[in-house]
Amino acid sequence: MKTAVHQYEDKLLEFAYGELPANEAAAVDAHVRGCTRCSEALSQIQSVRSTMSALPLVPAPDAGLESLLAYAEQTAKRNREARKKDVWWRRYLMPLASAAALMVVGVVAWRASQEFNPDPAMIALEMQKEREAAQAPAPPAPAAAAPVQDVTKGGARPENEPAALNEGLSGARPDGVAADDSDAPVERRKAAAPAPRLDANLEMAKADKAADPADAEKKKLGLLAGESGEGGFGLGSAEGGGGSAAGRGGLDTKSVDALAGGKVASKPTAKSVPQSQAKRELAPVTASKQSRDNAPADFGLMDDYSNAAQRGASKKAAPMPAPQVAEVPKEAPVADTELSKNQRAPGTQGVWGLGTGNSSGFSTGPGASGGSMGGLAQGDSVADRQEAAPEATSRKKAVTPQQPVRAEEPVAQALPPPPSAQPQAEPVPAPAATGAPSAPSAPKTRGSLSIGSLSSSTRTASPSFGAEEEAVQVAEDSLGADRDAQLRQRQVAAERQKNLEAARSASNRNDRVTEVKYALAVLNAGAQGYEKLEALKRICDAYEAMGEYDRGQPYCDTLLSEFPNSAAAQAVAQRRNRMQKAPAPAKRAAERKYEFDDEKAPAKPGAPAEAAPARD
Amino acid sequence: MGPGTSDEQLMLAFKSGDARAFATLVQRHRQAVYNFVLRYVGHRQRAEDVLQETWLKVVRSSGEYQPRAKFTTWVFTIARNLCVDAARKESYRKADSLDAPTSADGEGRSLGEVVPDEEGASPDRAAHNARLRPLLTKAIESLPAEQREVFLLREYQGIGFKEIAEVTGVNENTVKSRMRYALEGLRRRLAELGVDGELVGEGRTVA
Repeated sequence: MKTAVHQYEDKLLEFAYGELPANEAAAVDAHVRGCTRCSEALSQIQSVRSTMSALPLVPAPDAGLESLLAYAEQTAKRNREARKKDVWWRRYLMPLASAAALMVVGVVAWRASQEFNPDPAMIALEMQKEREAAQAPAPPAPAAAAPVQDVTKGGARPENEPAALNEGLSGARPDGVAADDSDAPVERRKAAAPAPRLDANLEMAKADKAADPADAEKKKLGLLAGESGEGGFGLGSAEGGGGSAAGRGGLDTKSVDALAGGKVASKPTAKSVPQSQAKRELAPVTASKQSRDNAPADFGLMDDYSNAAQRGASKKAAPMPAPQVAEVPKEAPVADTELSKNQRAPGTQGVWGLGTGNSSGFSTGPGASGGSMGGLAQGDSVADRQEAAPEATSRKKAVTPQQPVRAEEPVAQALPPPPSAQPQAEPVPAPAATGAPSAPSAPKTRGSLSIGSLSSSTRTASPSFGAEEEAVQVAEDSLGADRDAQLRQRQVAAERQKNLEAARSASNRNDRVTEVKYALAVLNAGAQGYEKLEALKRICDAYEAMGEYDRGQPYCDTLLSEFPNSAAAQAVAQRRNRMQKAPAPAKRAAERKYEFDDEKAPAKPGAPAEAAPARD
Repeated sequence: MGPGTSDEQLMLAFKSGDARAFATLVQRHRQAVYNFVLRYVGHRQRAEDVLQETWLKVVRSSGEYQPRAKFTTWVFTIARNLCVDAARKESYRKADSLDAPTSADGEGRSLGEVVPDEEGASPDRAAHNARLRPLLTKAIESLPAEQREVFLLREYQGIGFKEIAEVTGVNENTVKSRMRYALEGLRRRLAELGVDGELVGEGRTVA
């Protein structure tokens, strides 16, 4: 109750001043009428208010009013001007600001759209790179346990994998037959479509080689890589270690797989050597970039070259198998698939891959076709042997003997002509229906190799495989040293070419000292023929340019004696004739210098004291 | 600018450059502001100065005026702050009381005595008021400043408690509390001075 009274007492003030709402005012009024305390409080408030209301309002003085209004007038005028300025400012600023904001938004949107709308080609390239990056650091698993699902299984293949590669891997057969390899490998190989484009490439490369042996390799490889399509690029870049080797590797992959009959895609369980392994296998070859790049474009010897290189690598690292074809895992159900992968691995040498690819394609051919076709594939035969022999043995056997190849030269000539020897030869069409192996889509690089492979392939198809295999092994062992020597020779030749190129570059830079250094290196490397001529000429010219006639004299003499009819020798002879008539200015200057030194020599004893220790 | 135009509209018009709007505002509120200031500071001359300064400040601040509150609230806020400043300055010197003779008049009459009488009042009534005003003024002066300003704003200027809270910068309940204390103090002071509210209307005083 008391609380309620206080509650109304609090509202008496507002009630007295009329600030309460009507309903509250009525309630307070009702309460006040019945509450003496609140009534007294309210009466006191009203009494004070009535007393204080007697105090009237005082009129404000006018002093200062005029000045105040005058000041207000000026202020109003300034306000008007400021308002006009504000209006003008806003009139132009707002549209400008709006336009600027729109431009900013547009630019941002455009950039965002550019960033999120890249070129499809770039997307494909990036995906390709990512795939390569994902494949590169693959663990160095053993070849036998390496899965093959990445390439052989259609589902595992990236979507953006080029159609050419798919075609080469899965559908090289024009008839579209995708038979299981375990069921009908022979038929599929017979139906393998030829690779006329590859032949053309090789022929063109051979023509280039004929023009310039040093550049032929590069031109050929570049051409092949360019025509190999996207498929070549993808796998090649992964296997060949990037750069130009990528394209070459890709070409090999495609062509070899195509030649192998497109068995890979049709065989879901087929295992192929993972690309990381292929890369490892390729390492010995690719490590020697110099020898690779400067290797002669000898198609027929490419197999030997690669095998020898791998053999050298196997010497360096024990776990590294020597021949790449021998890297086929034993568990591989289909050997030629493995071989295709292995052949893809050395893709840095497109010709090499081509050669083995052919071998693969023909080796698995029917034994009836015999001798001509099956023998081409040393790799395939080795792979077949691997199914029954230990891996170490198969590695050893992987080397294809050359000697038997030469012995069966006529058979090799029945094959498509090697591009190096017969540029105009056309590939033999594939007689698929007869069961005979189709003509090798890629030309056999050299008859000797084809014949050499022929024997092993024949053995592969024949029942008496073991005895012939051992014979081939012995032959291969005997030829190992010869191949090493050949490889070393090629490497030395490549070294000479490289040094010669470096000398040319130094000459272009007018760096005579470097030019002489590299030219001497070429001579020391046993240069013959035009290499020696060029090296001698460069040394002779460089020394003459440097004024060191005496040092260049022996080289000039050698040039004159060994290449008397060359233009360089004639030029040197002309220069000598001119010098005999009139000493060279440098020589005259040198003579004058010597004379001057002789004249000044007696004056030295009279030199200051500090020169004495120097004389001492 | 008619008479129905609100103070806020007039102020906005003056902000836009209409000087007549300001004159209207001055005409409307000058006397109220002056009485508040006069009763706050208790000195006519200082009250005139504060009044002039208040309106000058209104003019100077017209550019930043925003009609967020009533114009009267804004003006009395300015005036109150100026009064506080003036009171602080006056605290350093002895100020003349409203009871002290004003030098301006020179006749020895106090401020309360010079307050004009209501027009038409009878001579007895006028004489009574003449005696009563100094007492009322003295009672107001006896209030503390915070109670005095609240009482002056509410009793003579008619500003509600809520607006007084805005002017003084305190909450509304504090304003009401100060108002109650002010009324109680005035009642006590008037009783001390012999002024009975009931007798005021009858022309009788205690003293």
